Amino acid sequence: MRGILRTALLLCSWVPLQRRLLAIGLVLTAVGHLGQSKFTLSTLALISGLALAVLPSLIVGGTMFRIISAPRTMHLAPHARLQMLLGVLLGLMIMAAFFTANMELLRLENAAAWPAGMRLSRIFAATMAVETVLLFGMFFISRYALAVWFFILIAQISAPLLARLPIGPAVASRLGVVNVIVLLTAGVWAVFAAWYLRARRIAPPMWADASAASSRRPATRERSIHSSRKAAIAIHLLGLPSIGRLVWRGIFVFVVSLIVMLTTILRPGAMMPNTGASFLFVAFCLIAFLPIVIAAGVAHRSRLLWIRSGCTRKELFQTCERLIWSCFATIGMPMLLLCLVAWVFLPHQATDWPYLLAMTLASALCSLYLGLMNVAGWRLLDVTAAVLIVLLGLGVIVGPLFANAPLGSASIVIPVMGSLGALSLRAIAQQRWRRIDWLICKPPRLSSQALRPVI
Amino acid sequence: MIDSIVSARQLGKTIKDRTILRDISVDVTPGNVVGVIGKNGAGKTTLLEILLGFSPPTSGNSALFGHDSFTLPASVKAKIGFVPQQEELVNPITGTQLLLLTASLHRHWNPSLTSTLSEAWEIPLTRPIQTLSAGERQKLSTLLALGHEPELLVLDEPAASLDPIARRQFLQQILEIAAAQTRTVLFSTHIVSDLERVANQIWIIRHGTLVWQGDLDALKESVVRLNIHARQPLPASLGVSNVLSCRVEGPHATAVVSRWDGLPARDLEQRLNANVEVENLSLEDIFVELHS
Repeated sequence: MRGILRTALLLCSWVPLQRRLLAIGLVLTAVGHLGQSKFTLSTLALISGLALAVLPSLIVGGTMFRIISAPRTMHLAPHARLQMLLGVLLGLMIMAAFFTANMELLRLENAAAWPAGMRLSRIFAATMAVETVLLFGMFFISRYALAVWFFILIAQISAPLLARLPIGPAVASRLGVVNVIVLLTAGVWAVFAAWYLRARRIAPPMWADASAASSRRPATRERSIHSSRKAAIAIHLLGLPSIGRLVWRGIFVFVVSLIVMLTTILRPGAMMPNTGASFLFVAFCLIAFLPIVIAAGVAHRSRLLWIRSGCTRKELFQTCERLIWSCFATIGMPMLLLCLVAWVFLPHQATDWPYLLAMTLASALCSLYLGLMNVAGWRLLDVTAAVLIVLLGLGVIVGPLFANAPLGSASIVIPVMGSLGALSLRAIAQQRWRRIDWLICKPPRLSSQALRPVI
Repeated sequence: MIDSIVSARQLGKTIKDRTILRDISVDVTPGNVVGVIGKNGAGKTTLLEILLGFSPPTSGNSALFGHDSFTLPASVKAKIGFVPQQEELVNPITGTQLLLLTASLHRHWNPSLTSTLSEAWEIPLTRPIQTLSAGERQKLSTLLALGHEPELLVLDEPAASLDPIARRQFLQQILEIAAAQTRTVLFSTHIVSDLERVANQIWIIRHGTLVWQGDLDALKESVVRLNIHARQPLPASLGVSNVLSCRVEGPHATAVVSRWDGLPARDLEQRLNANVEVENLSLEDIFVELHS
């Protein structure tokens, strides 16, 4: 029982950033409730608060679940995996109950903001379903990074096909939507539990596994290494045998995406009105937020070169910056090309391509420098910048993409402000790199605390 | 002419309100093999990494070859070889490839030295690094630090993952390399026997404070155990200065004393009307007493 409760607690409070976001989310939620009768943006504050309180725990929770399941000592503790599984389930149910309770409060405070016919049981069931998908998704993505792309693509392909299945509406009308959702969620849990409880070994996340490293396929041919100083620096910073390996990953994602897109284009019946917008949204998000992952990784590996390369801190910052830019161009440019194809051939309502392009690039710049400046842990400034970039980035991309609202002068002002924000973050990053402390900024490893069994 | 290769004055380090090092002043002259010893979490790694410029000190300053550690120029870094506590290798490539890459970062590289050592240490260089054992990875990490023939070799717990035989051979060879070209070696460990075997200077760190620095032999001579036997019961306080630990049981007492110069034994015998035996301690016993 103690293991179940401890796992449920860990799910909501694993890392400091998550705890801070939870605190911010709770404050925003409270503000949203208190301001229902006073100001119009209170519902937005409430929804943002709930998202900040719940979403980080689901995203981090999947990785956390893998981390605590990985130690082999877990095999020795009686019913350890069962306790952790039940703990995660309990955590998700608490979060779903929290979300549902807030929705009920909103209904009592402001009936106008409440969608007609929305029942609490349906909200709870839907929240549990979404939480389950996110948590298990992150559980697998933390080990198999490219899986995220496949998850999205499979969803993209299967959604219109599933909608056309004659069995769906029939079952839903007979059993009721809530029951169908509950049955599907329970089915997913049952399948996962059957695998999880019997698996011989649960591998740790990719970043924490020294034996797996960043690439499972070693470069065994001696000639495949370019032993120039520039290549040596790049390989040390990226942790990959060659930049070519990164290019291949970019090409791989590009080709798979292109194939999926072509199959969608060639089957017009499989398209929904917003297929193009969905595809563009995923691609824009990838372009906008991928740089933070690359930048943070490179910044943390810069420690390896302090003695070996002879570079000063300033030179190392510039080297890292150049490398991240070239990586971003390597992966981002083919993605942009894909976006252009999707824009032309897939159905969507958006009209302002230059704005969306500019905003995506501005968000990418911001996230690139956020990654570079994050060398001293997640401070308040980093958390605030991250929240702003994600919320604003998503907001300014989603709005014009799906709603096609006229932007007017905002289509120029917002990207310009985003670019100015990126420049500010760059200045902060430069300032921090002058005093970078590589005792703190190290390549990520699982700490002994993280590996400590929870049972 | 630089007297000290490594020097630090009133060095202190605090991370998030936790004091890790306080008021550390050290000097290392060329040709010495300095062993840094302390319990886990004593501050050994932090000290070494501040000396190498990885981390800015909260107070005080440190220098390598006369240059401020935090802003080391490339010319000084070329004289340093560093083996971190947690090896920092590029996993998906082979040992040979990593050696090639590391060589390309240095102006001077001695391939015959790395080739000889890799054979002696039996490192399978053709295998991908991720498939090497912890000991092999640690040896490879040391090999990378030696290839450019540094004047100062800093090793942070270099033999922690090796078995006793490999550890002995490995440390002996590092010592030989250092002695052959009058290199300076600074290494941390919590394995006392390693330190006793190779170091001629010793720094003992306890809770972030340097409790001893100097010759290993001088340390051994200055910390002794007094075995006191009397006919009458002994007083609870023996009146001996610099006592690290003391146990009195009736007419018998044992006390471990630091900074012992031999002279007080006669006084003690007369004052307590007892027989006092002075026993020299092993380094391991001294370490335990200093931490008791």
